[in-house]
Amino acid sequence: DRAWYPLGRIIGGTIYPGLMVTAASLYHFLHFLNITIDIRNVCVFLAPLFSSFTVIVVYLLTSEVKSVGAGLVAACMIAIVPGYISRSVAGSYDNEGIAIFCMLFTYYLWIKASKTGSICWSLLCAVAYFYMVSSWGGYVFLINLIPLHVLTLMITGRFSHRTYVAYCITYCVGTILSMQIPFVGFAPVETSEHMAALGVFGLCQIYAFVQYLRAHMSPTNFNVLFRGVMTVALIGVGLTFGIASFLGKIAPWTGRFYSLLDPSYAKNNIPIIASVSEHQPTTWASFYFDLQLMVFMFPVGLYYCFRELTDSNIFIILYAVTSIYFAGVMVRLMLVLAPIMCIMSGIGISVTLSTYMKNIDSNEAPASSVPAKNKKKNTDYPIKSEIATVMVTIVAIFLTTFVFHCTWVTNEAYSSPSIVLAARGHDGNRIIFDDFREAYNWLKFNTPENAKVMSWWDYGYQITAMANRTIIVDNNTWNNTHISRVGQAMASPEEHSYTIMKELDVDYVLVIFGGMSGYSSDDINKFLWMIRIGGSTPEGAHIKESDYYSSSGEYKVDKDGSTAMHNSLMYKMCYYRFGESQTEQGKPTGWDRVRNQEIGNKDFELDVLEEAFTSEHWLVRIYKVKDLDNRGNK
Amino acid sequence: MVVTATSAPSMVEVVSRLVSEYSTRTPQRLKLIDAYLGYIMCTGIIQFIYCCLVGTFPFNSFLSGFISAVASFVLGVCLRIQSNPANVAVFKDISVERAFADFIFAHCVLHLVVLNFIG
Repeated sequence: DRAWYPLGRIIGGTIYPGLMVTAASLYHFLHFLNITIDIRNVCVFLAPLFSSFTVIVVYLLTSEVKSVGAGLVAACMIAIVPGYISRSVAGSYDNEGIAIFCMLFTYYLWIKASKTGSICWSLLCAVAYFYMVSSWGGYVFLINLIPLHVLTLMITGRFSHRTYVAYCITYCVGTILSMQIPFVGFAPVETSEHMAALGVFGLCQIYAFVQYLRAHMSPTNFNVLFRGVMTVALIGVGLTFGIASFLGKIAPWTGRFYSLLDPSYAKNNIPIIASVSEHQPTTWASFYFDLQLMVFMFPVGLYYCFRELTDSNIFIILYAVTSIYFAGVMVRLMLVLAPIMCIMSGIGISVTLSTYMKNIDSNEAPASSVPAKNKKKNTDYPIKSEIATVMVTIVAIFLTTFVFHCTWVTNEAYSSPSIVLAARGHDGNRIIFDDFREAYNWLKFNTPENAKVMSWWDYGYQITAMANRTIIVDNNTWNNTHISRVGQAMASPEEHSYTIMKELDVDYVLVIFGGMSGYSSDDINKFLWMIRIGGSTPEGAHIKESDYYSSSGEYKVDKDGSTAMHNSLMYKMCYYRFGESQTEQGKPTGWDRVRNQEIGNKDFELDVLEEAFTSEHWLVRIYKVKDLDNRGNK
Repeated sequence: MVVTATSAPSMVEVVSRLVSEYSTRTPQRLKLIDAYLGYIMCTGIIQFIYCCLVGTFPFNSFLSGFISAVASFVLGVCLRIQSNPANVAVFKDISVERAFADFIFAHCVLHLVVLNFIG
């Protein structure tokens, strides 16, 4: 109950345990071998370890689908691609670190199972699926992609006994295994996201039975039987689904997944989901930044897959097309796209290279066979060998630039810790902003043990881990009303906020302010989202977004800003005493370096808060909530 | 030139023909598996009817029992497919013995999970 005060949180039932179980078992295994690595180091290095496993699995997967050559290229590419590295750096102890490995491993076993049709491989696929379910909410992608694959095989007439064996066993054993995770519970039989898998399962049974009958009867007999049974079956199935949906037994699509199908849904209805920056649509620049060469080699690989259609190729094609769509909807899903991009590019490059390598003549062409081959050579295009050399050189240059790009991107964008910031001063020396740790340590040592801290949810986990204090909302909160209450407290004028803060039992309030240092992802920039989320519930009806814009409709903090903005708690907390300080040469006092404006409301006193701590570069500001008046004569 | 106009056979004729062909053509081993499948299907149907009558109170128990029946049925069908001599071309290097061994292994895992889930 240190999180989400006063609601508390049932950790067991609201989290995917895979990551923690993996880290713990690795720790115990190492200690069993008497290699005593501290648990923190195990956690820090878990993600890179699992990305090495991912490289191996990508190799296995691509060599199953295409050839060993393609496997090698794909494995090399995924080892350095920025799209994957961004979520698997050392220290990023998040679900995605192991989830991608589990996902690709499940796909590899699925392809093995559908190729051989053996019960053993299908069982292993189901167990790998269980591991995937335990590690990430993105397992929904798997449980929809595999039935989609089976459905496509049925439509294209490639449905064989092997596919039947593979899918039915994977689905049945996989489903009952997935229900062992408390967070998933009974979702596989109740929510719409899993209904496709169930539907395809039923369809498999019917299809296989129909095949069996067809093999044993003459066509006329079969047609009679078929027509009769089909009408009955279709009516029955239609009725059951209709009644089940109508009675509400099958829950409709939940918000997070529904917004993948209809991207405008979250923006209009659920501001919390819309406000997360990782949920924004992806720009072309991000695609190129994270994937470079693969953006161009991807269609090439897709073409070669289409040229030789096999069951496994169809799966890869479906995976590629669906991932591209989802990556376009949400930046965060770029991670799911990166492996399949590598696989496709690997296939493309490998086939290109092998086509052209064959044509490179070595200088000792046998002279005796020249006359006989003359006729055949006339039909080929001239200077075959030269063109082939040029092509191979071009591909080599592309691959070299890819490596340079990846290492540069990783160095620039994904190698800095986000808790300690660094910048270059005017004279080129490095300035370190250690404000976050300074502030959290202050909280840890200077506040009572049971103090409750209110901040925006981005900093919840950091406060819990480093300052060891109870918080109101954190990164995992899905309780819209609770977050909305915090948003209302931040956006309302002081008196109103005081009642909300007393209701939530808050002792300290923490804000991040970038105006002094130029740190641009501070709370004033996030303030608009707080307003939106605060105004989205009934208690926040007095908070309207338009009130916080200036008269010309812009988001301003200077004297053009609206009164609601100037009086809000967030404004007062960020800019308290800021009006007296000089931030830049030649600018007036109170110059906000992020918004590039001089603040409007400079001289004010705080009525309900008192300043408790401001860090060195004014990045983190902590305020103590004043007690109620002793004699209540306000 | 003989034109024979045959009327479509009735449903009863078709079904009876199917049944007689089944009993003569299929090998003994497959009929054994089919009997086992029939038994599993009855178990599943009985569970479902019980649930409809009594309600789903310990839902996890009902689900685990029902899924156990469904999964056993599916595994039995897979075993039947893999031991059918007509399908040897489809399943390269899976001998009948290997199919049976896989079947047993899968049942071990399945029942382990069912035991955990039945609560």
